[in-house]
Amino acid sequence: MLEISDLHVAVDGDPILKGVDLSVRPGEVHAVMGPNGSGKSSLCHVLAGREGYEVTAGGVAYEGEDLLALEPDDRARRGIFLAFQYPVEIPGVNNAYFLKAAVNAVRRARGDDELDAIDFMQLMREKVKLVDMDEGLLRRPLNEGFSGGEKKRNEILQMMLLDPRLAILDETDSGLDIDALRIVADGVNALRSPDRAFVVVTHHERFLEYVVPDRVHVLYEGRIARSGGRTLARELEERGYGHLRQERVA
Amino acid sequence: MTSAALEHYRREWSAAHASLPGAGVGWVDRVRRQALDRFCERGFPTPRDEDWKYTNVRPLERRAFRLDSTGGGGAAGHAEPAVCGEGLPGLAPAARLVFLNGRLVPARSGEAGELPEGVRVESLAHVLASNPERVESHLSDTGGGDNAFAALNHAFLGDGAVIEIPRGVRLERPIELAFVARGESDVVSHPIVLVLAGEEAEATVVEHHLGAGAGAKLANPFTRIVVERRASVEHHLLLEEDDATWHTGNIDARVSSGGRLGSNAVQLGGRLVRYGIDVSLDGVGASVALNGLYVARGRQHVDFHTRVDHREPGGTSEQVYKGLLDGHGRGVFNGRVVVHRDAQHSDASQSNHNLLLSENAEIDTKPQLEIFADDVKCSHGATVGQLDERAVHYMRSRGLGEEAARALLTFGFAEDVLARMGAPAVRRHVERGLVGALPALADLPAPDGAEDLAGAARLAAPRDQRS
Repeated sequence: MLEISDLHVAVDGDPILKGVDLSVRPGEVHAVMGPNGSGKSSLCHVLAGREGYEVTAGGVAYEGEDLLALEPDDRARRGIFLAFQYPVEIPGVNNAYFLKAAVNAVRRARGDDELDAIDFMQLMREKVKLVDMDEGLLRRPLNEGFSGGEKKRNEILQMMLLDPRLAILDETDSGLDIDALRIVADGVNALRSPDRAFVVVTHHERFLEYVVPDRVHVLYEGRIARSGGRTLARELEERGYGHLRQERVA
Repeated sequence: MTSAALEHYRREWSAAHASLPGAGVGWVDRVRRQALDRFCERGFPTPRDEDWKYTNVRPLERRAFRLDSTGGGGAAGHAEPAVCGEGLPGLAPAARLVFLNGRLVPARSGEAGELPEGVRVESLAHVLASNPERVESHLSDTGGGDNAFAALNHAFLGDGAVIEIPRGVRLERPIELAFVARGESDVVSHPIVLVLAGEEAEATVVEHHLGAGAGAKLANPFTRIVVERRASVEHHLLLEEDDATWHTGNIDARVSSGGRLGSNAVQLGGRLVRYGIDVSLDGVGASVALNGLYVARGRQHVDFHTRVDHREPGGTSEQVYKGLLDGHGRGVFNGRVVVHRDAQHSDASQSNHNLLLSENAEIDTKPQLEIFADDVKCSHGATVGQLDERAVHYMRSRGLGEEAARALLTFGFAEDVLARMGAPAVRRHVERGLVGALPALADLPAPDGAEDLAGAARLAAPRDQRS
């Protein structure tokens, strides 16, 4: 589904990613961990198509196509979803309206009928319950004045509504209390299916107790330094990232 | 001012003043004559005047604007809806007065039912003919914002609207005033609006200026609002003139102790618009909220000059003005807040935010605070910018096309201030106007276009500000 090969990315001429390889198949959940500044968020942004990230070598194939050649909205319409670490506040744009516009843009691209207001509201109410979100937030401007936890729930709500094939979560668990963490994790688990894949970027081993990954990768200084199973996360929790440097030197 | 232009207005005045409403009433004649003298003494402002540095009215000076020779509102053919409009959809006003080139159109005006006792909504011409002393004290000067155009207005004072809400009366439904400029070429109007709210009275007034026909027109209205103790007035100014209309309006408002004024101004049309809004907080704990939205496109020029005087302790003023500048549009915002020496514990905030949508658009913004008291809370800020690219990307990452994302963000920028204004019908109307002004909004995957957007936008209002 997703093939990242030897991906090199620079921001303002500074190399950030220095040869990332990652292969994700449908149905899999991949966790990406790593210390601050290792390039985790940059990897997410490159996949979502944010400007300012220059690919200097390597490439990314998504369902056999050159992902990097697609505009951000095209990527979304083809099933890629990024839950932002810092969702943008947009004054004056109603949350519910925005969600409906986005859902219908994606549905239209897939050849599905657009949802009318009534069907959409019904779908939205159902999903809102799943993420335990205050319905009042739907009537407010998009993310404006939302608490950190509310923003993250709103991201998961968007993910559920947009029904992506590849969901990338950029530290969605950061800053959440234990209850919110569980709700976000339940939301992800509810979407797990044989034809959907997840890339979960996280700092915390704890999140991976709820969202159990098939593979764990450690991004370190712009490369995948190690990959392994579920136990790798636990090992990192105990030993930290420092030893990776020694391993590489050795 | 060139002597030719000056002579033109003197001649116009000499020919017209004896037949204007109220002619022969001593104080009316005197006010007109003094105003004419003041106007001629001053002449049209020039860019050398600090307040007119960015707004050049020389093209106005070169044209010989005349009062409507057909006698205005009562003339045959003018009562048809196509000329005067049908009023704002959904407003359901308690009373509506329609003016054509500054004169009342009786056939299009009236009350929806019986007004509460003591409430009067009348034409100024009628008041001057029947009971002129009622308005004398309100027309004897043009207030703190006095300028050449206000003086010119009073030199030709004659018709307009007089709205009186007596003490303690709360008017649930708005009063609608529609001023239609209809060109025949080079026609000018000088209407006056008086809004007089007695103690603890409440009212909403919608003042809607429209233009029709291709001829050059000058609309030069003057609005005076008097808010007595603990009264509350919401004033909505809606400027939707055509590209052939110049508009040089002034608002002069006074708010007494515990009174509240909401001044809401939206400009969507006009060739050149210059509005002066002057609010004096005259009593303890008086407050004003000034909300404004201007949209300059094509070669439009729009200039808002606002001034708030905090004269007594404990007053509050909160101002939010936003501008959208596109094409070769040019905007000017000058907001001045003066906190006088005795006005301790005043709370004044002012912001002006502008969105430049084209490389050729331009804005000059100047927020000014002058504080002579020592225990006050004041803030001001102005920004000029483009759309937030992070927000564009965020929306695109959810599947919205780039043009749709930009249009929606632009709409949201304006919506943010519209949400502060109340009056749902005015808001819906402006939203429809904005959708018309932003073609890319039509590309949004919204099946029912404007209505859907407007509906969603209404939902976007913070709860406590929804009405």
